[in-house]
Amino acid sequence: MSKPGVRLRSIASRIFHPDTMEYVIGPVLADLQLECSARQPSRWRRSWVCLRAYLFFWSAVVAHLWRSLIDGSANRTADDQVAMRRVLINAAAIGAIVTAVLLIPGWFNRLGSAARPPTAFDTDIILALLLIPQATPISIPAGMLFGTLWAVRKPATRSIRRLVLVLGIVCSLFSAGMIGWVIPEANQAYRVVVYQKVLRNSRPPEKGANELSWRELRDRINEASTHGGSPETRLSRLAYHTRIALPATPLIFAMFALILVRRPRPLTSCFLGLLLFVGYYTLMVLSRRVADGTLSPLAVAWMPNLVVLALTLRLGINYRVSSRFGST
Amino acid sequence: MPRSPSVLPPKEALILELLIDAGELYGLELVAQSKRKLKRGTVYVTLGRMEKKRLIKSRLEAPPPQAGGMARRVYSPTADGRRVLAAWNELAKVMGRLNPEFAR
Repeated sequence: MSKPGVRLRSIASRIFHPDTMEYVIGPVLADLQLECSARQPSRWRRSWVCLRAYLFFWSAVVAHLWRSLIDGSANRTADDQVAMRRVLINAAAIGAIVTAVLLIPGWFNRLGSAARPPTAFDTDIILALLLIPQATPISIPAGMLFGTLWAVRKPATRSIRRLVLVLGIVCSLFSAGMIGWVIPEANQAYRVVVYQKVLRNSRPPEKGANELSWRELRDRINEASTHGGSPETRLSRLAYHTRIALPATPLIFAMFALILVRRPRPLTSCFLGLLLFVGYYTLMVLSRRVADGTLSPLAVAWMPNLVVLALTLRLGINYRVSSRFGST
Repeated sequence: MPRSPSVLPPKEALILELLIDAGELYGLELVAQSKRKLKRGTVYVTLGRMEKKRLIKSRLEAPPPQAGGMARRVYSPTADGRRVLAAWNELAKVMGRLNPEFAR
């Protein structure tokens, strides 16, 4: 039987720099092995010690990544460090606030509804927790956009731009994970809880396009396309392309925020950011209602992203030209 | 562009003190001897940074005989690290005399 941490080491060695492996990952894994191999009085105690050792391993990885992100630029100044912390804190805070704001109406509707069947308090808590992933496709881009606009009050230096773009990529990857895997599972779990515990219906609901995993969704599209197109197939294809297009939003919003902070007045930048934010999601809803049926699902899913990207490029070129010729 | 002034962060000063007292220590021993002032998750990142600054040095112990066993890293202070800590403590004393708030 191999020692604990051997597999982790082989995975980590493909991801991290050899120096990181030698000075951070290697020593942590050596400690992990020692702790897990040490003779413990009971099985529970041994399991607990190993679990703690694995948790410490991951916290060391996170600490290393965090430090690398903060130390990423050799030319950073004290002002840059303050701005970096503010971007991270503001993005997290605004994301959390937007998530809460999006959840509150549904929560109060459920509690205030006269027709609501009586449910246990723990069922209400489970339902609220299952709704949280639903808010992330809106709250993560909002955190990215307004967090950057609120924190960076003057034209960003190169290190700030790099940090914001790295943060945008990280948020996009996180979003992809949420939209691709977590949200469909949470959706289905929510429906099952509502059917079984609230409506007292023992038969679990059938999965829709938004509740299917990647593989199930692809299989359904492939199966339906052999039998010819139908509105349901179109809906499945739209859901599939949206899952690919929506995770790009945090990165695109980060790029837009970096363009907007060049404006002299921060409040105007925030107002323009708000307009873009509302416009993006309005366009997403409208494109589904109006263009669906005339445009391909691929075009419908990517249209809001492409519009914002085009706007970002246009504004970026404008600011670059005006700064080159000295006008304000 | 001016950089922020160089200081010896409290955690690095603590690690240097512990290593000077003990001579050589593992990461986990440092955590145990710091009485919860150092965290297990972050101690190796701090140690790696201190090694880059040449305040400490490290060596690998022989790996355990069992298959897949990993070698542990042992840390010790460098002469530079000892001098930096001594200078930092001296500075703290002087600053403490000038402004008692600094000594707290």
